[in-house]
Amino acid sequence: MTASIVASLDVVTRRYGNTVALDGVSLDIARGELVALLGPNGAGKTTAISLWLGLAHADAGRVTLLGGSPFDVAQRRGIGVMMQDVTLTHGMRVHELIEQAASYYPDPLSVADAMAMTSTAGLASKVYDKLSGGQKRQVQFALAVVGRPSVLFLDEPTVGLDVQARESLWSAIRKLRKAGCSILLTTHYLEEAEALADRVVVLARGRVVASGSVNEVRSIVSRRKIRCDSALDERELSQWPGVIKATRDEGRLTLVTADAEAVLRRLLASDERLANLEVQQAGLAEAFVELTKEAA
Amino acid sequence: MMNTATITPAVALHMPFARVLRAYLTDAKFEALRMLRAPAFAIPFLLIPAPLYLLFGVVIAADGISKNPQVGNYLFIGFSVMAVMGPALFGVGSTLAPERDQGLTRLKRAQPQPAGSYLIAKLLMAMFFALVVTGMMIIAAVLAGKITLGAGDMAALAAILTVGALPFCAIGLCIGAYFSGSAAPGITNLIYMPMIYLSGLFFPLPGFLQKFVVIWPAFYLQQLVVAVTGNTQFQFFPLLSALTVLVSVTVLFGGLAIRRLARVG
Repeated sequence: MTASIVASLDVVTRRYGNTVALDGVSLDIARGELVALLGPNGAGKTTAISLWLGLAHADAGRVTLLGGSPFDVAQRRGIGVMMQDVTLTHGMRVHELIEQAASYYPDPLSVADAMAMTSTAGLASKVYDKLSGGQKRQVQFALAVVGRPSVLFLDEPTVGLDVQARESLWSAIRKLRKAGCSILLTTHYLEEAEALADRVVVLARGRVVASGSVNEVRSIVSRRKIRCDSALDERELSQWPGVIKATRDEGRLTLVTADAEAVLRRLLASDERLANLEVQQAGLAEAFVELTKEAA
Repeated sequence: MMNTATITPAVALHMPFARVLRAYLTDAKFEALRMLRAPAFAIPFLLIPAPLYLLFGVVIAADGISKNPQVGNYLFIGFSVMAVMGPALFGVGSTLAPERDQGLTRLKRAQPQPAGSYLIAKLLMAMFFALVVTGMMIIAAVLAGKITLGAGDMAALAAILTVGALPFCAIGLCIGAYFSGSAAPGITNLIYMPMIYLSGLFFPLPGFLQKFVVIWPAFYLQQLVVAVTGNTQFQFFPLLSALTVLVSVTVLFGGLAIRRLARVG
């Protein structure tokens, strides 16, 4: 392992009963890198995070956090975490929750700084239980950052946030990353990955199905889609270079292609009666759906 | 706004002992504070025992006490034991169970919370409540003037009952570790209610029930205080044996709870 890798899964498998949650997954997070982990429910995203947080053992493979084991509390002093579906301690005020979390770290931010950074200063003396869902997420974010973590794990951080709160959280995340913090975030909001991530890793059914920059992931699968009315035989078309898939739906032909221009030229030359031509650039959202469909 | 320097990630993973200790104390402080703030917990467990003692252990029992002063001491000790059981059983078990359900124990495990701090905070909270409620009982008893215990006896009683909350904390931990948040308060009541009456805290039980007082930990805590404060007339069990039983209950239930929590969180 190189010094610049802050967290890694090395061919890790994790089963729950008969279900394989992670199936030989390898994944590194480099220092200062923001990785977005995408995937449908049950893809293994939360399992991957649980392994890094020392909440579960890998059945096979090796899990490393800051050069050691996540089961060692000293390693976890270097991380901040925002989990899904957690109710914080009943009956405590926001500034108390932050002070309590800060006490777990060797060199934390002041409570005031953590609140300023996460736009929670206005909530300081409010009782946590009485906050809105979005405000609760902001407070959980404050708990995640108060320890000045080297690695931040954010499991669906912006669920339930309004636009303004989300923008403010994104801006805080960008600042942290700029300051050298490594961040792993899982999300269902694809624009969130596009807005923030250096690298996107797509998990489906416990396997990594794509990994790269947003642009790379987009180009890996997304290719472009050509739709048209044509009498050409789709089986023959699927043999053409550059064509990944050819399908027909009630006379309408759909080609998935990695080289749209070349395929189009040949297509137009081969069928004079071709009509209603459409070419689509797949966004990350579409790439994502494609990826996970292929894995299914 | 923040400057960049203050959000630079910390590198030191080592934490000095003083800071670790402070983390334990911070957890304990907030656990006690938030329970004090919860009216549904603080009112029945802090404010009710002393008036209850004054009513049943002083006013209603006045005749009996005037005939035999040790009866007054016995009732005072009984109500004091009852007073420390409540916050220990309910304050530990009925908070642990829902916090497990709601993912808080998982979050605390993921955060670098020092080992055991989550549970130790609950124990210290229960001991704090035990100390406060025992103090209130002592004030009520001194004002009512129906006991013959000296200052040394009072101090011993307060100390024993504060530490004596631990076996009930251990039972609470066990309930909280094995049952869901919705089941835990009911299960706790199933133990708490019979234990108050069937451990003979307030009056001698009828013959056949008398034999069964030995199954309730409250009986041993009462016997411990009775022995230490010299109320020999009501001592039915040797001091050291009572102590042994209480330590065993603590170790057994505490151990079961910790084993369970280590496995399922």
